[in-house]
Amino acid sequence: MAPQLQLGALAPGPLPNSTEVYPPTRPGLAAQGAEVYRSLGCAQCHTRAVRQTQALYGARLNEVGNSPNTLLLPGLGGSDPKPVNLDLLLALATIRPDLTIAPLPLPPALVGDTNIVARLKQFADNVALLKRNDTKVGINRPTSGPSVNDLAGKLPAAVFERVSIEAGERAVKYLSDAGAKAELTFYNLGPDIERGWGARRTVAQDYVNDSPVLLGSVRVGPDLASLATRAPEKFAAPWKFASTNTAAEFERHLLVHLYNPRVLAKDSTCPSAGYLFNKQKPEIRAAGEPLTVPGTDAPVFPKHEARALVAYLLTQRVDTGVAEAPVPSAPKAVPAAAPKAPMKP
Amino acid sequence: MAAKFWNVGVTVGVLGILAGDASGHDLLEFPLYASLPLIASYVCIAAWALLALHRRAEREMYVSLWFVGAGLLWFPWIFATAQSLLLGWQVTGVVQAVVAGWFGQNLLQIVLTGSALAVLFYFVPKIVNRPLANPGLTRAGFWLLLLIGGWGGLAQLASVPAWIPAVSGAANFLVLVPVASLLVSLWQTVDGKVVEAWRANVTFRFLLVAAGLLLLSVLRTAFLGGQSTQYTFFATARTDIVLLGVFGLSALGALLHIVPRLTTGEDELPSVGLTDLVFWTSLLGVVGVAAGYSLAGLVQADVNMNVTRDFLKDGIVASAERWMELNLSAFGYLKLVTAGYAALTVAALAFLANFGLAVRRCFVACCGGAR
Repeated sequence: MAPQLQLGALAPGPLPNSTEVYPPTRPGLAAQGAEVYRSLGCAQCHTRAVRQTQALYGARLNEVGNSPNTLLLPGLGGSDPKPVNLDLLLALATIRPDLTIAPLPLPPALVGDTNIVARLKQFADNVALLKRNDTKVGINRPTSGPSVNDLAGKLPAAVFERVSIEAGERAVKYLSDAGAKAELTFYNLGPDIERGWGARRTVAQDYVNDSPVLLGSVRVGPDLASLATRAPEKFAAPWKFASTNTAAEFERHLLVHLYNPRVLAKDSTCPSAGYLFNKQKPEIRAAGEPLTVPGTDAPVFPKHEARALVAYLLTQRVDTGVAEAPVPSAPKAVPAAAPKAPMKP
Repeated sequence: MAAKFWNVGVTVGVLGILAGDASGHDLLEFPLYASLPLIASYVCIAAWALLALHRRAEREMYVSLWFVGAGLLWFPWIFATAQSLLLGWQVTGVVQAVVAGWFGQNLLQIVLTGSALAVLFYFVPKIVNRPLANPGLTRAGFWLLLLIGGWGGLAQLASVPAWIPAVSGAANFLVLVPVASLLVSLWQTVDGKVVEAWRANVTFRFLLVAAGLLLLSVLRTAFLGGQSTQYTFFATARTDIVLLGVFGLSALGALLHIVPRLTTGEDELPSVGLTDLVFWTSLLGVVGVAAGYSLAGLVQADVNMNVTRDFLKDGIVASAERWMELNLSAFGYLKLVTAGYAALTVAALAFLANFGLAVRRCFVACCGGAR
């Protein structure tokens, strides 16, 4: 009884900050495809459940921000004046002892600006203080290599990746105190997620629209919970989108897999569903596009069931975050080059 | 009559699955139109059996009757509950998976294992010609099995609240206690006469193997039946060990005892050679299926947890073509399973032939030939 009391009243619910409901109802063709999926026994070999072994955190620097020590310095990495937050550089240097601190030369145009000269002098003193402190606590800061200046120069920047929540929150606090805009990021981890089978673990909420709920119990084939979001290079036989019409290509790819799985992946043990295809063009008007199977000459015509099954598979996406299993948000712009090795502070 | 109805229901169910009407839930694949006659006929069978039990002359019930009675009450309960919650008034979302897993566990651990234990407790004391050594321990084992047995089976379920697999995993461990106490009670009964009984009685051989497989199945589920082997053939192996090994072998052993006595009243089936063939092929078959699926499951589990290994090549293909560290395209773990099923087919055919001979012998004895 307890599972029913806890989960029986689950219903599709609104997503936070959006008018959408999750999970959405399947369109008609995909709903018919769910019946084909059950009827053919796909669930005997495919699971639809993504596992996650752990979640780790990170800190992302989004904006340099404004602090009393933000200076507009020309001639750094370009001719335009660029805001440089001296406090942020110090904060970054404190939390990332594996990075060097490049000295900030006084631009010749600003030699007369007493305000800036004083601030840069203060910065140099602070750096010296930090370095002395490093020696005191035994930190061996490298003298060459990537510097905190580089890290802050290309935003958004991943300051930390895959660290504990304490380390991530500490970094965000340091950066925010320096006036910068930083956010805590997180990483869903586990072999399933790294195989590209989904962005997060699956939860009970994902299945409230399904009936029967076919989670599957053995993986003779890959997990299908998030098949529609799987990148082409994450398939058993990696492939590439040839055009921008990725949806049509994905559909064609899945139809070929249904017709003969060995065409795409030589070692696949999936049984062929060739009976879902007509060899001759059927006499009905809604025959649909013929399918050209690589390696064969004559095109085949997918039956309604084949198209329904593919439509169902294309609704399999686990890329929407829910309260109990969030999905990492993508950085707002192109992310900066991440540090090579994740490190512990 | 009810039994015939049952067979009709099973036939309809198998045809329904082939026609694409499978329900999709493990161990509950029959469509609703096949399940309804099954429930109806089983209720009839159980009702008459319980009536007969009620009107027994000997008021003191023996252990085997406990297990038979429990099975008779248990199966209609779990079957009707699961069918009505899955195919009738459908519950929402993953509760369906929980219900299906609960049914499968109760079917395997209580109904089928219970039937096997009924056979064991009936024949083992009878064959060694001793009374049951430890009735108190047996009684405790029986009640604990009923209490704990049904809780396992959900240890590998994902996408449900974490307490469900956790409780289930604990139950998988706890069930070692009743199974061990029941087997200890049997062992105390046969102690010292095992070799003698093995040589003298073919039914005893089947029962000894079935008891060993029962211990093996609960041990492997308790120690390896958690997250580590989730979604691998390891769990498939468990179903086959209980169904074919524990239940199948003990039922076959019982049939080898019952059939000759029921037909002509003799002690043995007509062909001793065929009986031996049935034993060795079914033993090889069950061991092949169990070992093949379990080892393939361990290979798969390793690949599942290690993202650097290729899912298809290192997992599925390798478990079909690998034996320990050797690469043998002709003989891998999964091919061992196929060989095991082939051996079981030989065993079934050999038993059928022997059964046919027994029926013929019966006809010859009764009416001078089947003319």
